[in-house]
Amino acid sequence: MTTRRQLLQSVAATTLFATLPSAAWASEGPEKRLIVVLMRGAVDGLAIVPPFGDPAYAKARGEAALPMPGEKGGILNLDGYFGLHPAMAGLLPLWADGDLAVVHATGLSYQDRSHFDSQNVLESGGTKPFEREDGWLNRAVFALGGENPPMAVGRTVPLLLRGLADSTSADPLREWRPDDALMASVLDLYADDPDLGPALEAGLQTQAMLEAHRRRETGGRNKEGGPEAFEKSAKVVGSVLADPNGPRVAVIDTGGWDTHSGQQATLDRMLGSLAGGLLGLRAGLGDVWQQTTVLFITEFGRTVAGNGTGGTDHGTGAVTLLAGGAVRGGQVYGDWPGLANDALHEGRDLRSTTDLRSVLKGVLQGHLGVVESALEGQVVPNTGEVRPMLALFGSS
Amino acid sequence: MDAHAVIAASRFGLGARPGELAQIRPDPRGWLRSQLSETRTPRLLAKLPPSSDSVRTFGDMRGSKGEAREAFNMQMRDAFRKEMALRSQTAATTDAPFVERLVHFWSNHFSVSISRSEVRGVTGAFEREVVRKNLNGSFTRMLLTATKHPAMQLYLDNVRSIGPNSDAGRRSGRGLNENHAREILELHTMGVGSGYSQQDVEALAAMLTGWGLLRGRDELPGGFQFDPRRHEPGPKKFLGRTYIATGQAEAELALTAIATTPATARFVCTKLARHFVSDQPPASAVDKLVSVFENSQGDLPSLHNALIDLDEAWERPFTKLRTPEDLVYATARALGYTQDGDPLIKSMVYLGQVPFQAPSPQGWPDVAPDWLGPEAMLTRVEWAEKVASDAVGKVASALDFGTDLLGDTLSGRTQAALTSAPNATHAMALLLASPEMQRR
Repeated sequence: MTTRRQLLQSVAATTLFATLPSAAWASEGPEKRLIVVLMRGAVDGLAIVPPFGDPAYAKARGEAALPMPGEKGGILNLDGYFGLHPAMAGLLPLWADGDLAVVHATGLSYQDRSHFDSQNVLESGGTKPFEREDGWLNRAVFALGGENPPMAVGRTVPLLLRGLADSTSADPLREWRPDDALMASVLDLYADDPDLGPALEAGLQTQAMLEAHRRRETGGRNKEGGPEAFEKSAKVVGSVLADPNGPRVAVIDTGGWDTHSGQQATLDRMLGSLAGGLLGLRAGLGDVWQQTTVLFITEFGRTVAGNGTGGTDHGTGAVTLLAGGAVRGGQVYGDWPGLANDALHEGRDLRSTTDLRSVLKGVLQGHLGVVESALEGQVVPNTGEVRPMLALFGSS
Repeated sequence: MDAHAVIAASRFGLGARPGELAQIRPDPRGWLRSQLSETRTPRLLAKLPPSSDSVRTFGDMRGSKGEAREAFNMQMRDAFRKEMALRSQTAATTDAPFVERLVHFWSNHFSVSISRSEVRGVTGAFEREVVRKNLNGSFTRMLLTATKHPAMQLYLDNVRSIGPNSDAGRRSGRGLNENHAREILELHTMGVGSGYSQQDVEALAAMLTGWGLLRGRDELPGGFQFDPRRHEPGPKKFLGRTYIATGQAEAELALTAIATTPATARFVCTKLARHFVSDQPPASAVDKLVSVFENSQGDLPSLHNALIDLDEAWERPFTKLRTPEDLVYATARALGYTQDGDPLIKSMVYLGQVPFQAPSPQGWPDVAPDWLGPEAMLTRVEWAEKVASDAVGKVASALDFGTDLLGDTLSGRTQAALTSAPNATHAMALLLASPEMQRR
């Protein structure tokens, strides 16, 4: 097992990062925030942002097509061609304010329809599955320097945030009454273990920091769970990100998007909750929302046609959403490949026309301010031909 | 000198019970080997109903709504909960913990989850009928049984899949659901990237059409039945070989063929080595298992014995992090817990891993980084403290207690911490939180 320490030593030995400028973070004026929402299971992008204006839409999707705008339970019209899933009506004001952007028909260079391999590529930023053991977001944080470790919401740190830079994880709604004396003895007990001690120490620090925000946002009553728990948790996350001593980067890991059957009911419930979560983040962030980007990514899209069994199967082209005051929103970006039969990838999937890495690089460079040399050299390496999509942030 | 006994108890077994280390010490490998000859269903699980029983119940319930339906769902939930409690009580008390670990390993390999509520009624039976029953048979047999079982058929949607050119397909306009076929290739047998294509996935899905539950009860668990009216007609080309149209036998032949390919041998043996040696097992260990798999045509007892023979599995340090489920069993066994398993399940919920509730068909992860996050570590220590405060009255000295369980593998640092702890609860919490208990 490679420990972080070993990794650092090997990196130091090869001086991989020696030439990187590390002050980029602080020099960017108001400090930027980035929240990445991972949607595991391959969410149906054609359901989140249905292209109802595409003449082939209704026929191509078959049973997976949503009712047209204006019909009962119909698509919410965004720009006359693309719309939003009806369960996400709460996000329409964000669209109107220019705080919500869509990049449609995105995809990875790896296109093999395996969740587990694709998630690995999505998080690692490599070109092949299991090529690397660290995540592109961790490498970006490392390149930027900075003091505050990024935070994963949940028990553990996903691959996206693993690597050389310290990171932490936390349940924002945890009940927090630590026995300080015991914790100190346990830390001492873990002194010879390469992993347990650092993990416990990070957990203690993060929870101590979260406690004030948790009290403020939830009044300390979090036990009920239920559909509001996600929004409540997001509020606490937003609040701690707005704290000058809090993390600048967070990852929210979600799953359950693999809708081979029962897609309609599942998406109604989960997209409603997701929209609530985004509104919770905005509420918690307050003014800092203006400096924030929330990026929603998934490993691939789903088949255009319903599979005849109330769901959709693994596909290719996906949708990527960006929200936040920092985003130049109110637009659908990307080249729409169309849903006509001859336009589909392998006769079944939405073609991917935008390399997802150009969105990721756009966020890292245009929003977080990772300099180009670091981006190309280490953070998302060997992607020189993939240009960062800087238009998302009002520069080009 | 106790390392081998502790490895037998913890890495192969589920953790030592009080006094057990002394029994293992003379012959750790022999202690493990003797367990493999045990083929009976554990006593606590012997009288639970087979999944075919559900057929009748579900048949009776077909079409029922409202209160009757709700009462029935409640009954299924209770049955599942009761079986899970008995399963964890078995793990905490068994004299054959190596067998129990193997059962858990294979159940997680062929992972099903009650995230689909209709799977709940047959999930407990899945482990008994697929895993326990075939533990002394072949991998091929286990694969075939798993694929046919109602729990898997429901979980991976094959019951909903219809050949588009079959009678039922032409009539209804419905089609293939390729979920089950893809996961068989990717997760149960060959592993992704081993050379199959999207066309192969679709061909296997087509061969699997018509495999399902008793006719007319599509959405509900029951027994296996092949329905020719849903089966895609015509020959199928799968992995370069043509399967002539023979109905149910097509997928049986295809599964039998892939069960013993080199890709499957390597995929399965890598997982075994990862579980029993280390997160990144040495190639030498995987290669030895692969050759046993290939020479024995996937004979599971041969593989399980080969694990015991694996020198790499008997080395220190103890790098494997116990998963939450493992940690709960090890802690319960250390404390000599023999009661109802329900509190053990509650502990697993608290720690974040519950049997048959893995987040994806991949099953629960088996490497430390997926379990060892800051929040997860905090939760483990807090849990240790809670358990310690319940257990403390039963133990005179945490140091003596720890030494009985862990022998001379109890580190000097831990011994010193136990000796200098301010009170008995604190000492017990330290022992339960110690690296020696967190790792195996």
